[in-house]
Amino acid sequence: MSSVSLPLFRALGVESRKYRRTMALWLAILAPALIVLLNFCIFYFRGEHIVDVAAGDFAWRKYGMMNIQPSINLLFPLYIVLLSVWFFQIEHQSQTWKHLWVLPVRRSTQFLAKVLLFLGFVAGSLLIFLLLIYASGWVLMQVRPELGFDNTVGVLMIAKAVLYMLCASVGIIALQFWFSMRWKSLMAPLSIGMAGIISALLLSSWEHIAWHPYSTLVMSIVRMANADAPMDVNPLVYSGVLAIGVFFLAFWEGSRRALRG
Amino acid sequence: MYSIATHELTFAFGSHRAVDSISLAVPQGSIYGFLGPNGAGKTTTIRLLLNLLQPQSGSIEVLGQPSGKHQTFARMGALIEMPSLYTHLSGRANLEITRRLYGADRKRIDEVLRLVELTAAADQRVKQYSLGMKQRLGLALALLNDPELLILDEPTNGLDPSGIRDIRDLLIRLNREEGKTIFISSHMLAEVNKLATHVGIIRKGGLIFQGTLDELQSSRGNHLMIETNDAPAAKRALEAHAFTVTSCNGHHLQVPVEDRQQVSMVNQILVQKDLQVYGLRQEQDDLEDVFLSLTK
Repeated sequence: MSSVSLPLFRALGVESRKYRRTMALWLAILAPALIVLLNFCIFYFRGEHIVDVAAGDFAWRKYGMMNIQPSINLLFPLYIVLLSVWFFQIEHQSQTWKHLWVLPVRRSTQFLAKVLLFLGFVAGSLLIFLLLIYASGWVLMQVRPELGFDNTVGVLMIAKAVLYMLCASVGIIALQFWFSMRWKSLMAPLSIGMAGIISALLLSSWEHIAWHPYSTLVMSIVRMANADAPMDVNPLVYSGVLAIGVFFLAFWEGSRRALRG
Repeated sequence: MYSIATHELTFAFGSHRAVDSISLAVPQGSIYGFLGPNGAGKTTTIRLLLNLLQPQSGSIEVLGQPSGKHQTFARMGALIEMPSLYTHLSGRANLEITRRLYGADRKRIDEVLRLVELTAAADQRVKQYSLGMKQRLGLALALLNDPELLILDEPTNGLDPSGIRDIRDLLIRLNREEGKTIFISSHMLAEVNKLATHVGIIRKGGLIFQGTLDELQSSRGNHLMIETNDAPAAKRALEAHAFTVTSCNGHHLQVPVEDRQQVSMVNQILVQKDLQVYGLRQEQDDLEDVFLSLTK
């Protein structure tokens, strides 16, 4: 193993140990479960009012969009904001930066380990989300066969949409990661995150909305549904470039910041 | 050979010079007490030594290397103010996190737990620890890599007298038996006096004394303890003759003197003023007085 990867794996192992029994870990598991559970209940009790098989509706497509639509508009960005705050409060509350930075592991390695673990948390949550949609859809197929879940149209679309969610969210992830690492107080990253999410919703009909960093999730799903939809910028490319830029900026700024208190 | 050597180290927060041209020389194998009142610049100096702050001017060498080399961090341990602990994890899990980052041997965890006498509480969550236990765990973290140099910022803060004695005994043992150099900051001279071999005193960001404890002790002055029937009148009389009265309570006065002629002169002044002199006793200033006069 190379001299670079060994400390990184070590730092990654250490980072993952810190989050045992933490709110951040529970949030990563419970948030997707809650959304799917609510939609499962709605489909179980009122599915016949939602899926009109005679009119050509497809159950998997409807069920998938019912889970994904509110997530991309509000819940998933909100989840990223909350997760990033809890993710860093563990260091801020314990005042552990000053301890970590006098250990014989480069700050860049420790930073990279945190980035990878945070991305891992989000990717893990989305994987749980996807698997729970499939598992609950399968249960609905057994208990409510009349809804048409045996027709698999839309099954692959759900996986594709979740993959788009992950790719389109890396810009927001990087921004919230930086703000939460930067400020000890949880109010600052929470306020900026909320302002970003709400302003993206309010400005949704603006012709240049694609440049709004918190709109990339919605824009990516619009682009997925219609590849020819007019947009200033490809949301997936924009989110990726934004993420790389912000992560570099966060490391540059963080490694130069004086630790006074 | 110095474990820590700084040259004209300077750092300012805006226009306030927190550390002003400090040249520290911490001999290898010493226990160096870094003394100063609260706000004198001790913690800022330590943060500079550990590369948590960047000096505006001057240089720092730690273990023969410019500060901030991560190879140097492998040879030293540090405890900065309150220990940095993940309170939702056990003491052992906290040690395991740091052990992995050091790449230290797994058996070191049990060794340091024994050293700081926390073996029985190792598997409890840190949030259940007392302040003294947290402080000892912080020290265990600093000792995990068996460092040559320990930098400790007020490690006895918030401890009860028995906790303070335990930490002191441990540090003396680490220094004498394992040859570790210990740089310890404190605002309590009495505490440092019991363990340090060398002392540096900082006031308003500047180093005003540096040397061995014996050198500090030899700089002590004398004072005269006077018992009289009217202390305020005696004070007025002595001050009229350019003596400084450092304390005046009831029938007692304290006056710094340089030699025996001054003792005689004090007596004559008091007698000429028809004051009853019940006692004259010459005493050497204690270290606390020296410290207070230096840092006043």
